[in-house]
Amino acid sequence: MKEVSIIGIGTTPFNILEGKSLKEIATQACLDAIQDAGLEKESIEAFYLGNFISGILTGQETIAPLVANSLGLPKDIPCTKVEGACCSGGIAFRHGYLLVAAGLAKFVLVAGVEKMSSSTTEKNTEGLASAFDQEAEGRTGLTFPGFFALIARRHMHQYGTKIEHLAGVSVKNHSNSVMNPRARFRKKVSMEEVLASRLIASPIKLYDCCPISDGAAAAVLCPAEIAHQFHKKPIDILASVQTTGYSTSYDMDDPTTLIATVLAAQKAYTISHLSAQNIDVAELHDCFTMAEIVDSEDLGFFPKGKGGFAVEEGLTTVGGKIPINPSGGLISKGHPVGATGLGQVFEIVKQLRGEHENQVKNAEIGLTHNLGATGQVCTVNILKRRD
Amino acid sequence: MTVLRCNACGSFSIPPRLFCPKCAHGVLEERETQGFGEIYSFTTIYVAPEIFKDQVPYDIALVELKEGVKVTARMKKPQDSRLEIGAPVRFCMKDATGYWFELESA
Repeated sequence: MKEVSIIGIGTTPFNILEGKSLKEIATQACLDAIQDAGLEKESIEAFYLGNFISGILTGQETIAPLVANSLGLPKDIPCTKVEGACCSGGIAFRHGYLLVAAGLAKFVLVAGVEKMSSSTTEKNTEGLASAFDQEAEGRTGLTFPGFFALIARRHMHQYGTKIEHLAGVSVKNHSNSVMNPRARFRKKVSMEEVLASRLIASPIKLYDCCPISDGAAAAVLCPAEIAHQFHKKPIDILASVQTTGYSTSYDMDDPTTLIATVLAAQKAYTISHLSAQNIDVAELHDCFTMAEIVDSEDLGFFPKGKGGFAVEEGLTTVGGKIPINPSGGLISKGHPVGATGLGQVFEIVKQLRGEHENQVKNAEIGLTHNLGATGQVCTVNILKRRD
Repeated sequence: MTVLRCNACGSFSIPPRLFCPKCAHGVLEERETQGFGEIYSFTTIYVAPEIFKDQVPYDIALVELKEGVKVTARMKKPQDSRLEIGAPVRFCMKDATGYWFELESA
């Protein structure tokens, strides 16, 4: 098994990218990552592309060869699309990592992309809901805001979490993305604005939800032993883990814990010989404000039930005990679903290179956490800068 | 309402399924239940997928049956009544949308 490093990153803004197709935005992000790695396209030996619902939203399937052709990648390499709902990007990253770790490829391109703005809200809601077990609960008309609303009511009932804790996540993340040129939203919001926003699925309101976004992000991976030849600040992958959770909410013993995250974090900490206390900065999956609170507990940053109170105490701000989502997270940076996993990698690499617009001081070890839908897929990466 | 009971560990689950979600081992046998339970959690949906657009707002609950198994259900609810965690409910029907439950009247 080889150690693996990230030598290049690229991204589009996460926003409404009017007039830009899925093919175009994926190509741009990939080009930027290859350039950042100081490589030529001809050096790429494999390509993994994460995407969730390009078929449902845009009528376009089979996008890995599509983007590879658009980019001009060599024809003798495998180009593979991976799907795991909102974790598609994380899965693509991990599969690129596995190929390099196995010694089967030197330079691998990984990317994620989603084009959502050309479809209506109803179409997007329906597309996202396709990740539910249709037989079991998809057919009831459950939505993802609805799923996290069910969790929110239990979290409040079991632990005394307050609606202001959820709103506090939105306030923090909007404040964080003010400085992020890649972000969908770059304006602060107040607690009052969040609490007054319209209901989507009670008690989840508009500002508790991530926005519909377009975007693509990409990275280039290579063996750690040669990484310094290609980028002066290579970022080492200490662990890249993927686990599986429940597809159906009623199968969960306690939906306030998403078991795939707990298991992925435990494995990642074990492999890297670290604990939650060693993480300097995290980009985790805040598809909804409630999700950030649950994730922060499941990743071991706070005991179960204390994640909301941690927000209230300011423990997750950039200057806090564990800075969470300094990019603005999915809530404010945006969530082009299949791209997010790579978007998180982009943000953490920037932090660890010391080049982030909302820099966490001396960030040495970063964590990315990407979750699919009901938590049925999860990836966790632990990344480290060199010194 | 039909549920499944595992002959290895005795736990109940919602059909259709091949393996017990708790122990993955036993044979699953069909059992009839009257479908009494209580609300484990609930939400009202205001923004829906295309095909559910004209039903908005509608209520969805996670119901915990007396048998100890949970099921995702649509709630039939009179206009002026409220859903609460712990409120007693009972199964009323199953259709293409799934299981429908209603609040037990006082």
